[in-house]
Amino acid sequence: MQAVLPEDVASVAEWFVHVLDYPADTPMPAPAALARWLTDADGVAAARERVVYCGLFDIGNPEPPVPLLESHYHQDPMARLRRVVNFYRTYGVVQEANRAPDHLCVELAFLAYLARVAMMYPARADVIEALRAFARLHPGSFSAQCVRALARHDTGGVYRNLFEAMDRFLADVGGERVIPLAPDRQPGDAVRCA
Amino acid sequence: MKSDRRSFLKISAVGAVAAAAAGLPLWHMRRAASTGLGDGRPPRTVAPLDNWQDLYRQRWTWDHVAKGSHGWLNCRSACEWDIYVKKGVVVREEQTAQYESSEPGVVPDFNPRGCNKGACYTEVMYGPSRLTVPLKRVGERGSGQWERVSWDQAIDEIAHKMVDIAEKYGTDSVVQDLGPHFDNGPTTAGRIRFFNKFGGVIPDDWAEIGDLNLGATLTFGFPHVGGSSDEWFLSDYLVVWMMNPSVTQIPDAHFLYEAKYNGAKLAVIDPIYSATATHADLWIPVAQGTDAALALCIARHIWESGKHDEKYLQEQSDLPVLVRLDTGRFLREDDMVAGGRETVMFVHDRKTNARVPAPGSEGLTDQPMLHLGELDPALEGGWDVQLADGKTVQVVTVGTLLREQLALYSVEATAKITGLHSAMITRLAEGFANAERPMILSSWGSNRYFHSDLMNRAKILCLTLKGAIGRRGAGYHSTGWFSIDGFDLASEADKPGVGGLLGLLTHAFSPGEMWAIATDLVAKRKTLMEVTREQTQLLMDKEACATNSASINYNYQGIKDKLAAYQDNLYPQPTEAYVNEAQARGWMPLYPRKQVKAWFTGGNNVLRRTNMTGEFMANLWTNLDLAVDVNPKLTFTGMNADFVLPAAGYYEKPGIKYPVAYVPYLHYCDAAIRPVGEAKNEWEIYFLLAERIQQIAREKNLAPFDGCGKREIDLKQIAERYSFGREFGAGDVEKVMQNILDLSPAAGGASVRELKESGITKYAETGAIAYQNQLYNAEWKGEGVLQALQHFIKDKWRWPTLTGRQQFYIDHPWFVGGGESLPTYKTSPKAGGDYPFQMVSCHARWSVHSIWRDTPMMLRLQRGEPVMYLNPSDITRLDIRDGDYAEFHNDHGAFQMRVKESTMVRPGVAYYFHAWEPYQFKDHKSYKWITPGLMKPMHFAGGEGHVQWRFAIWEPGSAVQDTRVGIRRIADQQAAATAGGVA
Repeated sequence: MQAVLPEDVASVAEWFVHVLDYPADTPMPAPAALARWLTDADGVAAARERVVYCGLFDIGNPEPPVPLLESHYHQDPMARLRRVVNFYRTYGVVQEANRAPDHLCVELAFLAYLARVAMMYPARADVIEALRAFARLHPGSFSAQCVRALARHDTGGVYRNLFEAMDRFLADVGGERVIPLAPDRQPGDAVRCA
Repeated sequence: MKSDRRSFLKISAVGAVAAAAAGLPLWHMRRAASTGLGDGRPPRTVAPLDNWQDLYRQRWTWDHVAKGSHGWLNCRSACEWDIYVKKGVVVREEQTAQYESSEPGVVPDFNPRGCNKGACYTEVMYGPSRLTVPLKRVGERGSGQWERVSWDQAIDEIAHKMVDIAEKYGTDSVVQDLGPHFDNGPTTAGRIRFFNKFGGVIPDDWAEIGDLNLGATLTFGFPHVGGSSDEWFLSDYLVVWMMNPSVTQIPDAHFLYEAKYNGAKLAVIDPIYSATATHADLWIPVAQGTDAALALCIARHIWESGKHDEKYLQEQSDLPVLVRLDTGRFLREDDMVAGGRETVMFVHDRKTNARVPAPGSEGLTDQPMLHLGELDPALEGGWDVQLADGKTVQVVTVGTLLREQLALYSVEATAKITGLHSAMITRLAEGFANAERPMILSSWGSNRYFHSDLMNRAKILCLTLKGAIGRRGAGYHSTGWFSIDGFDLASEADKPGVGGLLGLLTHAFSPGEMWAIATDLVAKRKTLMEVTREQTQLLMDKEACATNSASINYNYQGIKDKLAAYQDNLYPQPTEAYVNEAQARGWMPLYPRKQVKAWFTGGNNVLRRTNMTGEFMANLWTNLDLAVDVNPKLTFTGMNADFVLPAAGYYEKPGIKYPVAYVPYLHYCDAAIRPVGEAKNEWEIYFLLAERIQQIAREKNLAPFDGCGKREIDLKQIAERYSFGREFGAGDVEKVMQNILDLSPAAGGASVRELKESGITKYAETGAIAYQNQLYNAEWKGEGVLQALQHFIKDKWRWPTLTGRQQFYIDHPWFVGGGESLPTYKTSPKAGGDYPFQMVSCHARWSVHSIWRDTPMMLRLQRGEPVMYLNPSDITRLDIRDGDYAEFHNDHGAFQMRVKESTMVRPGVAYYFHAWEPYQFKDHKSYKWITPGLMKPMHFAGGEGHVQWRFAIWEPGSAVQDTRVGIRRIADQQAAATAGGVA
């Protein structure tokens, strides 16, 4: 079983946030770690295209084919919202004022944040446990449904490819594969932050 | 989930750890106040998410709001929208409601404006068929094999190809198919300007599409009639005739229904129980194509019941003008006097019992007004007249001939023709005759029958008899236009500003011509309208390689024999003889002179639109050396092009919505965002193309070309000329826009900066009288309901017809010989063969032409794929079930379409909403493959009075509504469903 490092989680999660959250005009290079989950490398380059994005996910549509909100996929939407906000607050943050807390990008951003906290405190296994739990309980709880919805609507395949990669990534992060330390690093070594 | 609670408790215990993580980068997160962390600023918090409303509010966020509209869309309405932008992406659009009433307390205001298409344009803008990068074909045309290329490569290869073609075949072998989608801003100005400077051909396809009201042109001298739509509210008897505003003019339709609250009666004459008919007081389900008979019956009733306006007819119509019975021609001065003028006609004055020149006659060059003075012209009567050669002939008034013609259309006879009950006809005729302010709304779609001109001439006759044309709250509405004068100059002039106008005039006209123009005006020998029209035509003759699409198709599409089969028996000569005569006499210009070798599209979708598409592709398209589609969207035409260049969409470039008179506001389209992907606006695209062509021409030191035989075209200067002598660069599209506004008095001095804020501005005046603009009301200065045609009715200008009057008698020899000198009813020819169903179409509610045709949201609101509506009795007879696929066939082949049972359709009619893309059909072949598109030979006529070619005024067209088909059940429905090319 191949381990997943916190820095992998941080870089990959942040990259997903970048490409899924109204992708910016300046492309963000894909992290090397992404290759583990991405089966079609062409999708990385194509992810810069914004044209499919709005048609699939945009909130301006009455009902987007693939909503990116966790609450959309569960029976208890308000409980979900409260739970995820509490998670954030526990770790000293809240989402930006104009953001829905259960939006996939916000949850991925929080996942990246937790990963970076884990990188700073490699000895604190409980942070890693929180990271795993959050990935499993929140973004990982609906990413597979997003993939299925995309399969019905994404004719170009770009986002379908990315979402499949993200689903695999979240499954790995939530599935006990994240380890607190890189094999060649010891507690107390300098930690590189992006 | 079982670890949820336990995990959460453990996680909570590490909250303090986060305190040390204050320096980490955050995405979409802020430090929470409760931690005591932060950067010294008050923490941002969110509203409590206690209910769904809170969540909903949070989701509706945006960065800024721009004002915009759907600029180069061929929509007869105009609506301003708020465009919501978030991080460079348009997330939605919303109607504005900032329009005022033209006369508060008298007519309602123009709010709300907008429709379902406009409200979801973002779906098209970001939809799967949106073009974002230049593509070059690498397989066979239409094979779907493309290579992504850079703009530099695309421009370079296209420029080289164009120069090669110009060298081999002349610049006029390159066609810019202008299409119905155009605006009055830099987008369309750039397109026209480039091809003017290149010496390419710009055909008008208004009539070929079936939108040009040639019946109005024959009667008034121009096709575009009508003022603002709030004038509908003032009518007391509204007749919606061949129009469906609830579907095709959604923002204006409310005036009709509000007029009912104002006491008006609403009659809808339509074979289909349309969305507008559902609101009618009287729905007249006239048999397909028999409208002329119904109109002539109404006219007969008006006259017989004495409800006609005699004084109006004496002054404004040709009813008193005398016609020779031996020739069918007007009695003319050169008949009466040796050396007399050919274009002076006569009336019989009852006071003096003498023949006198008819006021308004084209040949009365020093008397351009319609004032009758003491004259009392007879509307009816006949007299013997001795001609200059001593021969005596009998003459009668047009009115007399007309009365004889109308006698054929009794209620009983009309009931047989139209399939209506005689009581229904009588009720309609009496309602019309008794009305004080009858008004007919007639859409562009009323021009798609072979004999549409006869239908519209007959409809107008009803109004003229009532004296309703030009009267407030009455008359004929078939779309008037304001004039954006600066647009015309931006399309042609070599310099910006007033200098460009003067330069254009001095370049085009000799000093003698300029002097003649000036003296005609000063001496009041001609009205302003006449001077302007002559100027414009002279300019067109000297400067432009302009023609019409039908002429190109007739000569290059390979359809002569096919058309002949259906229409050669209708007139004394075969169609080809008429066309040959027209072209030999120079009545109807034909360019390209040799071959069509390059085709540029953008404002249209020619391979979806053209009738007998198979022949067009086999005989014209395959002969092209270059096919380029400049378009925001990949269309069927783009799929078959050599290059597709991604153009900026509506919200991505500045523009002016074309200025229909229905709503008297200029609609500005702001560039809310940068063009999507690598798209560029057309001004820039053609700038780059001009630059590259100029470089190549200079490298080759090319000698000037002869244009289309009219002027020298120096490609070594094309970029200089395109850029107004380097006044405007590739990125100066907003400066070009400002130049257009500056030179357009109708814009009232509005600036781009102001329009970015307001989106709209009330027109300050109607603008110059030009090709499109035929409002004829210079007194309107932005206030009050806009009434058209006041120069004729109030100021007594003569109409731009041979007789200077509303003309119902056309004495052109072709018309006399063809039995169409007067409005009459003729049966619809069986185009496509003798088959039991007449296949007719109408505009759809869910798309403007093909632009929204593949949009999922719009497809969800209809049936999701092409569908043909049939009457239940026909479905039963054909043994077809509702929802089945059926085969529709005639002499030209067959296509497959799903059938919908509907009582809104008459038996014997196969009805569809138009503009499905061919790729939505089996084998990518739509109904257009078997639609012949008849071309009426009369419309090639020229050489006399107003019966002569004028760009977008008088030109041949192509009729689709006469198509006949047979229908067969398809046995294997599963196979049919699988074969369907549904997008």
